[in-house]
Amino acid sequence: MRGPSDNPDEAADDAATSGRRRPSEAVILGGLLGLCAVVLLPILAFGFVYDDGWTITANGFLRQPADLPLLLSDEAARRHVPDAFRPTLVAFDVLAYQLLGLLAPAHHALSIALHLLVCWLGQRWLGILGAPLDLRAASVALFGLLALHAEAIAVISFREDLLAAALAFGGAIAASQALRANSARRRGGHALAAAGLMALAAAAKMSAAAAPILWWIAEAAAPWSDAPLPWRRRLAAAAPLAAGVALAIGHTLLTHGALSPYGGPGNLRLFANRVGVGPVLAESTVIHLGYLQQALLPFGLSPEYVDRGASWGDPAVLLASAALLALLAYGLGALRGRRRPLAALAILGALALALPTSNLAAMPNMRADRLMYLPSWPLCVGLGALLLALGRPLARALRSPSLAYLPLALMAILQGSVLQASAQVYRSNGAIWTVAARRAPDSARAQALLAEALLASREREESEGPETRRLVSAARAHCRRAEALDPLDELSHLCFARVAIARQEWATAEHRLRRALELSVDRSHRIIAALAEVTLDLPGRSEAERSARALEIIDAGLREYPYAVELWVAAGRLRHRVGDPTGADAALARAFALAPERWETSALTIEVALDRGDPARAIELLDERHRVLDAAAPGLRAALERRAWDHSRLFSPTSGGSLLLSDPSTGASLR
Amino acid sequence: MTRKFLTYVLLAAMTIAAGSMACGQTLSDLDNGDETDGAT
Repeated sequence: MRGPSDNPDEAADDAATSGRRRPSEAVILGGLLGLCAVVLLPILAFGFVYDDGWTITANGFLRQPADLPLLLSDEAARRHVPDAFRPTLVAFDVLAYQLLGLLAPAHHALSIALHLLVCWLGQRWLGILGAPLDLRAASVALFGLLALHAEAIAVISFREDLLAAALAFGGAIAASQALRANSARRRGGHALAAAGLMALAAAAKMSAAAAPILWWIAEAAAPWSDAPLPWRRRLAAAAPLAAGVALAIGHTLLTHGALSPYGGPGNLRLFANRVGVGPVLAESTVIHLGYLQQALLPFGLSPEYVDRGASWGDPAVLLASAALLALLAYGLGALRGRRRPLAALAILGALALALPTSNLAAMPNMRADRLMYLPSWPLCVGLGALLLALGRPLARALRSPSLAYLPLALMAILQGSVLQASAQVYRSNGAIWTVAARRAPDSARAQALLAEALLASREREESEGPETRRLVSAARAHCRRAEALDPLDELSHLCFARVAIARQEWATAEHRLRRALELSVDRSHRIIAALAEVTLDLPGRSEAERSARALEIIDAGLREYPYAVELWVAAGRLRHRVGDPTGADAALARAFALAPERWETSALTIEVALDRGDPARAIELLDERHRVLDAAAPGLRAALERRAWDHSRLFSPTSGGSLLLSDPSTGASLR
Repeated sequence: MTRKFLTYVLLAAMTIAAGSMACGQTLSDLDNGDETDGAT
């Protein structure tokens, strides 16, 4: 074994710095994991934000566990199941929903637990590779508190990165155990576990597919061994990891017909489809140097970045390319002959793990903090080693062993402080898009979604008040900015449509929604729902024509997005408005089955019952679903209760609930 | 030694909390968002 304590100089350092009695491994790791948990505790108060609506709160598929086998075929993608190309994640989300419902603090606690698990598994793997406890603990402290992880941990739906990392580390541990196993039987068991865990990891998020490369670098560099194990044995142990990745890629190919689930050249959300791969890759070099800076010195973190292309001749691109190439060259040199194996692991490992999200394959976001979750781990290991090395001379000079950990502690405190502060951005959609528009003012998405957040913040009771007018005007200004920045982004047009709806300008709303639908390649259910409802209000057309067109749109949407709750609610509302109470009830029953927590469905169901003249059913629903309705605006709930009470008073039970058979003034039955 | 270590961990947690407050910024809240754009 080659390690700090075998080197005479470093052994002396260790003796000087660690003291005679130091806390047990369990206390050190438990204490540090506890510290990470405490720092992340404020996240428990956050709600569902960002993509949580699409993948969790309004995702009806999570309420249909019997449909899980669809994930193994192309049927899930055809039915627009959110993240159908990540079957492990969807299965995990189904399980989490079945266990936790829509209790946001519980989901956040799950994310924190996953993050701590990743920290623990990472150090466990380092332990198998022979790393000393100091370094393993440093990796836990730095990775656990890295500010760059705020987005991945604080947004519930981004637990995909945490889950994939945990499974990838599980696979790496199993592969390393297989490599060191004495018996063929144990080797086989570990290899099987490695393949399975790696397949699950890549099926949770394909960016984990680079984990076998990290494993190979770590085993080849063998920073804490005298020599790496024979390459033939390493190859045999790496094969199951590669097989696991191949299995996940095969699944994506089978279910999506292509390696990328993001569609072909028609998808304008992929910036490479607009400007070509070259400019995107040029900009990607600057992005990756930025990631490195953000990992080491945590400033410039943002919930949003602007997609842009660059020229290879730009000074920033030239400098970034040179810096990354220099790092690559240094890493390869460090690996050659195992001259600096730990540096090789940190640099080459991070570069390898960043490869899947490096824009070589087009992605909807060229840059996002969460993409660096797993790639930052080798960096944390390298940084931990560097900070420990910096502390040793300090401890020796000042004759205080504890000072050996001072640089590490200072870095951990810096990262932890920024992590806790940065996570606050993700507490609500309003906060996210306010900050996004401030930090990335040239992002059309940030401008459009900030406008939506402004419109959503209107008080329902004051639809015509001065505050509402101010919010609508401010939203419109953001829509204009969004359209000027990117007229091909469907969100810009959806933004104008929302403003038009708020101003009851139905023709404008319809025009904008149709344009948004033309530009949208996925997640079009919200546009379809709004278009169907707006179509029913279009001026200059007969009622029959408007009704027929609106129902046609919503029915087509439901065929395309059968698990989208918003569409079922819109269908219920439309059918109610066109005088089809049976159809409305059926649609609302489906909406309730797909998202029973949604108060709007229940409120509308009660309204339908009241309009149909069935106060008994309305009162029954008010009683049955009182917990769900607790989330509704008090004014709305009070109005429903008042109406139900008035109906029951005005229409006697013997009247059969029909207005035509009752005397509205007395409530007496005319029958 | 264990007690000393845990004291350091506690101290780090408190320093991080103070540091976080120093890094934080006040944002205008738009938190009374609705779950839908439709009307019932």
